[in-house]
Amino acid sequence: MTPTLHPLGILLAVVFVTSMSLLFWWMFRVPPAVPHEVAAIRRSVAAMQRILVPISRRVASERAVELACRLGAAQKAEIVLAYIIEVPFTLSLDTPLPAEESRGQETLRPARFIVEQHGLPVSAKIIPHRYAWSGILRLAKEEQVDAIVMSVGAGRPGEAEGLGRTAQEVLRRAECEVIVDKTPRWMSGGSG
Amino acid sequence: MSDNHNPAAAERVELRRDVTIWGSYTWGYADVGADIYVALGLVIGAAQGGAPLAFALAGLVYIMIGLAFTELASSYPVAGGGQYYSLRGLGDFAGFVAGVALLLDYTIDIALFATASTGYFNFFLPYFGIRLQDFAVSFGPIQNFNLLWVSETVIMIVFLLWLNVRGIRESSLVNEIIGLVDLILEMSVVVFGFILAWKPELLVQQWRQEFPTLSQFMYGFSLSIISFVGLESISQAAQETRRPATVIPRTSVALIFTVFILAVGFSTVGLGILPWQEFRAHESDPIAYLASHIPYLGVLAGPFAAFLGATILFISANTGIMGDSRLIFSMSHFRLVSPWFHHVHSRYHTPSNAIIGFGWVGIALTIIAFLTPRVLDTLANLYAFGATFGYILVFTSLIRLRFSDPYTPRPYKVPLNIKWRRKDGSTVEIPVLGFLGLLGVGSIFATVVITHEIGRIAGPAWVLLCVIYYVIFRRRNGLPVLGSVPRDWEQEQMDVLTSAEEFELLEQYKQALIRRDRQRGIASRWSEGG
Repeated sequence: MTPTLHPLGILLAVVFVTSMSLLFWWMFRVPPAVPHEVAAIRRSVAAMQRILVPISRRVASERAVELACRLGAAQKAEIVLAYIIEVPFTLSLDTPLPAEESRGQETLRPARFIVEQHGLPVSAKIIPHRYAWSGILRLAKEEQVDAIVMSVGAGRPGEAEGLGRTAQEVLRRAECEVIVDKTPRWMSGGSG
Repeated sequence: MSDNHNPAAAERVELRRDVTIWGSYTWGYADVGADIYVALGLVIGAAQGGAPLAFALAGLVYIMIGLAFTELASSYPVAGGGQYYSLRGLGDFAGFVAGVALLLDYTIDIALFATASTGYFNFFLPYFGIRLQDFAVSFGPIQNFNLLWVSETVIMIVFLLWLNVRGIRESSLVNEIIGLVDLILEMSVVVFGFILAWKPELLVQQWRQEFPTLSQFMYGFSLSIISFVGLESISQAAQETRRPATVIPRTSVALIFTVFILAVGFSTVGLGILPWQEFRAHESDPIAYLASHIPYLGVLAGPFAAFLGATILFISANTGIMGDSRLIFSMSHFRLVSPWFHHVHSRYHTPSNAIIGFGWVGIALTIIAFLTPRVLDTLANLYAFGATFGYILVFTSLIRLRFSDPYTPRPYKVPLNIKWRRKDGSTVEIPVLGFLGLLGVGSIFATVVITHEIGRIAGPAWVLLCVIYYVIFRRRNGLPVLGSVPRDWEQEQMDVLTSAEEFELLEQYKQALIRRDRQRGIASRWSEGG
């Protein structure tokens, strides 16, 4: 028997060997095992399907929105933006407050833009409530959010430092996870 | 969970997880790899110049079957395979029927492949001055009952039974080593065939001038599915595979494409070297005949083919024993058959009763095969019947489980899905390929029933016989016959994922259940400590 060499045959042999080699290379590249405690932590973060971000004019809430978006990006979480109108006790809760509502819409606009840039589903709500913290908690419960991401203090140049009452109450009373972002003064000063 | 509620949860974890990545791959390859060795000549003989197309088309159906098994085996990494998926998806009765269909296949695997393997070993007997024909005896209607051959086969099966009782690591190691050698040998036939002897003009000429009629092609197509049966063995070893949910999708997909590439490669290289008529004339040893026409390799063709055939069929028989035992072990666990089969060997951590119990059935079948020459045909017929019937139930289960259990994480998902959001807020992904696969397997099953005379009678007869046993067993034990025993599947799934150390999936599953319960407005039992 004399060998019959054909370029197409050689090419097919090369394709055959290459495809088999690639197949085995892929098969053996198994990702490393994840310890139970690590898996539990990773999954609890990945389980955040709905994240609430309270928006305020007094703090740099946009940063909290950006953080929430990054937190929810992998699992395409829904970002719920909330602007709470604090209604004084002298007024009824259903009193129309067009000026405040318009301010709320304006404050929500850049936040919504950030979420849209990330391609995540977004909903924005303006809620009248006696206190911002109780409004946030009520909304968190109604919307069944998995986490609240909020910015506190020192967000805008010239604002006071420290956790405000809103953050303290939300941290104390929330049934879901709460992530509080406090940016250092030098950073917020630059963004201002 | 009390033992009463989930009787074998404790025993379930006792099976040792000793199957590695290569081990998982070779459990499947051992079963499928032998098939092409048998099917090549038959398919080329039937589909003639259109054989590569027949292999490719059957391969497409097989890919769908393989992907369905990949999804199910990685989502439910327990022993039982198709039987377990049918039980989860369709209930106890369907689980039993799927189980006995696949049980039929694995038992045939033992008998058929052990007999064929020793047949190839006998090639070497003349080198030791032994003539096989000298051991043939005839009595009454029994002609040419070969005492030596039957003894060799029974000894081989007994050895395999011992090996399997001894441990999954030991039996897996045999597959791993022999599987590697055989894979290299099979690949070398294709590679050297393409480089040294392949003539594309011969392939084209046969394709153009020797293309079969539609009925011939359909027959060849129905035969070519034989070359792909066996992938499910990977799922049978799932409960003993390390990190099964991660490993099985990789080994299954790699195996699917290995076998597909080999089947199409062999038929393409074969028809580019020899006319199809020559394959028909050498149906029993197509690869040896092909190898004998490849320069340099041809000199070694005889012993080479005998060695390859003997070893690959040997590990196929080994896979048959493993598959049979895990299947009956799982059926026993779910109280579909006697609890006797659920015993785990205290020292070796293997399902010893299940191995020995059905191993003897394999031996009995082997002896019957030697008594009647036609029985080998019967076995091959039954093989096709059992496999396609079992696959139909597996596809149905795949579809059903997407609806009934959307919460179990699926590390691998059959591609092409349509998302459907249900009223309760959950999202179901409807598997388009699942429906296409069901259609494909259904049509092959219909072809088997129409064209295989023995299979269409003996196959249903086997199932019916087993159903009679099932009715008696369930009634005697006060269990529903057509209904299902209530089971805590969620806890079962948690136990399985914990024992498999698939913690990422375990947490994913837990979160999905918590979310579901929250949507339903009920307190979740999984939220504690979660």
